Amino acid sequence: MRDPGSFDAFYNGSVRRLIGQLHAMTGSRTEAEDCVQEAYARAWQRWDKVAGYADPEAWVRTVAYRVSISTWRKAASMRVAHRKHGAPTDDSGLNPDYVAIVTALRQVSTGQRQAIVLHHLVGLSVDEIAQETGAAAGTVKARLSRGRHALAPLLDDADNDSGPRAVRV
Amino acid sequence: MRENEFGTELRTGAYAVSTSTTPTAAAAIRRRGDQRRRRNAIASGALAFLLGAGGGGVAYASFSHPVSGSNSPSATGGATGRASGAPAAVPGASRPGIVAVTTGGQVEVLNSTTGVVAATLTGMQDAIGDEVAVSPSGQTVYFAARQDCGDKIESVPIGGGKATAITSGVLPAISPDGTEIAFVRESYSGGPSEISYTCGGVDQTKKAEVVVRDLANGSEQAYPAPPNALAWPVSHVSWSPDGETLLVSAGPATGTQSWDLLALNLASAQYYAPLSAGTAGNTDIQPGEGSGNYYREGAYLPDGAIFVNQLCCTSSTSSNGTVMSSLLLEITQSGQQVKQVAEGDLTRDHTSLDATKGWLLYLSGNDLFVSDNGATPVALSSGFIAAAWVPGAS
Repeated sequence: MRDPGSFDAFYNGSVRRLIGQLHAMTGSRTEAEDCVQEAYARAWQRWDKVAGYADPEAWVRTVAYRVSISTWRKAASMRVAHRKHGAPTDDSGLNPDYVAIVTALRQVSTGQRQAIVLHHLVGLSVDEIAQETGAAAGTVKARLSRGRHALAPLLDDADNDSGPRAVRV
Repeated sequence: MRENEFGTELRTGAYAVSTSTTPTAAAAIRRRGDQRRRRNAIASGALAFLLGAGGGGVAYASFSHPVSGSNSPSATGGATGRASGAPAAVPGASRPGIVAVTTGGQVEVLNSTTGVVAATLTGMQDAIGDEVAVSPSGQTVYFAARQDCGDKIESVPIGGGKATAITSGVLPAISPDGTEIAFVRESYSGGPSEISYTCGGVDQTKKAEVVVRDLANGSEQAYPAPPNALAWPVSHVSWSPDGETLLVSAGPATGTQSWDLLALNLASAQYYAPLSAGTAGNTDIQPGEGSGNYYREGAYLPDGAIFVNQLCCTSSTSSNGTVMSSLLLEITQSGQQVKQVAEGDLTRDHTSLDATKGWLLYLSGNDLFVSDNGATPVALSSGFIAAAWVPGAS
């Protein structure tokens, strides 16, 4: 039996935090809100089980992250966003250093980005990241190391204020 | 930007986002979930009816299933985005088979022409990557699996069967004659030095070491990390065709270092550049152009050349004016380029490089690419964290 009261309390107590975390992972406030809401909706679908987990917030964060990297969902939401709002806009009002970090994070691999955000923002240990992502702890460490190595020149550029640079894809 | 500044800015910025957000009301989220649940139930009922089950038993179709005994959703991707039967138009008449580890932790045998899964050798979450290897006979598959405070290497017959534990470690690589297995024993080592890992209250953060184990009698020879290495993340180990050298792809210990491609002479237990065999020391294989270049990963070809992913930092420019590149190359042991196989995607890691007679493969992110004798690689399938050729199979 799903208890709306416990779900609402869980949602109200964690949704803002998760939107902030997903923003760091996706670089888009709209996308972060959309993915987090979708993840909470899925959590409510099976709240009788999720409520019993030791860390339901980790469950929602993982689902939200997977939603965010779904190519199908990305394409669909982009079409909707364009219809609703036109081209994507930046997050004006945010600290430029933070915007530079999020911009740089979008240029590293998804696994590296996830590990970096979970470690430096969420504060998870390597082992906790391994448990949440299903990767080996050694893999998590390598992702953290490789990710930071990849970020270094990007953030150095931001520090030097050299403007946007072309990146091969 | 310093490490501590990075974390502070990230936390401050994300907090600003969270506090400036007006979330949808919880009741609306519940309604959204209920609507999805009803749609899934209807869809499941219709599917059951179409499949001849009568449609009476309405099953709840969940999108992502929590792992049994875990609080986290299961890793998806085992079948997501994978080839579904259409042959990939890869040149070449015959080719070896492929084994791969999915992002869901399954070891699979793939049809290397179509990318279709021919056999599944393990259950979900059984394998952790990052590498998989096959015996020269093509009969036994070696992979890494999780165990308590470390990882272990297991083997499974390519025709299917029960997995057998070999020893603790990761990154298995089988010698050309099939008698030895090289791997990395790390106790969760491999991360940046500032990241400590504890298990059972014991600090497990330490350097990795390459180990070569005799598969017949279990005797082992360890080759500790070079003295100048801090914590030592290793991503790949590859045997030379003569079985005398291991190519070790070792990662940066800090954010200011790059990856190294080290050749380990098993007789002298020294890391050195292959063509400087007489000069023992801790010299890595240097890229042939540009001081900012480095090799991210490498694997021997059967003829002794090396298949590498070379990353350029800031010293190289390309035709379109960009200053960064990720190239997949065949090089000689002295670092001279033989041919450029492909230009990689800078936003992705290029790993699991492997070569066999006339064929190359690698992962770009989780996408599996194959190349016929260095020709333009073709994306075969996706959803993998490791892959390798099956020697002798066609």
